[in-house]
Amino acid sequence: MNPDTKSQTPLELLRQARVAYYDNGDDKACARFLWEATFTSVRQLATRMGHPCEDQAQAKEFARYLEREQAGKALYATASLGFGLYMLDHAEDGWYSQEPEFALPFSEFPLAIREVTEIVEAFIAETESVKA
Amino acid sequence: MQTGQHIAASQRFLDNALMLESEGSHMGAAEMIWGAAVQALEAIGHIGSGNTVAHLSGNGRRRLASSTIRQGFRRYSEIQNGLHAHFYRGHLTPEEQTEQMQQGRDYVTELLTVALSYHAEPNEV
Repeated sequence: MNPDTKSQTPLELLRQARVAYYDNGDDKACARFLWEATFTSVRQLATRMGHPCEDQAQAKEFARYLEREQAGKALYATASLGFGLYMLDHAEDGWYSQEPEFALPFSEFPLAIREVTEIVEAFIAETESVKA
Repeated sequence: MQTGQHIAASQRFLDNALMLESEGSHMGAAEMIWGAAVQALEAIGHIGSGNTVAHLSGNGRRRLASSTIRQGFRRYSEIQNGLHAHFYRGHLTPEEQTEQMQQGRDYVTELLTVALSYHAEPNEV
């Protein structure tokens, strides 16, 4: 994760994603902020629940753990994290972004922003429902 | 194709997935689940492109994202980028493959339940 964004909240990262896309027309930057917002919201819940979540591997492991629990089913944790990783792939010009069938066109980023907003809001709500 | 035909096609894809899985063709089975998802979405009417086992049109994506099927776009994306891409890349670990195929089946079941309810009550669509 980018050290410059590690201390930012998921909602602030979402705000920056919207600025990147709507104000600057930069879908790559938007995609990276969307990934970081997703990861940060997952990490906050993991931390609250006492699970390590400092990198992708730990985040995937935590999502799998959630998937086996009732809360995970409601959150669709692995699909949610997977969507965030799809955004990261786009930001880094990975395999999906190179394939026309899989790449997310610039014009469809409002959908991605909305989807990640739902993901982040769901994870924040779940975090707040877990007693510290 | 009519709604009922898409529903039937989706169920055939699920049957084929089971058959391929029993034969040990997991990548083929993954692709069949992707096909089942696309056909189920076609049945609901979220895809208007007429292109069967293919990506959603832009309009289809917008309708899916705004649909009442919760997490529609996210879960569609997970199946496309997981199971469908796996058919080409073979990138999923056996554990990931098993999990994603189960999640894919669950999603298709949800979609077909909605499709069948629409099909039974066409005036409610």
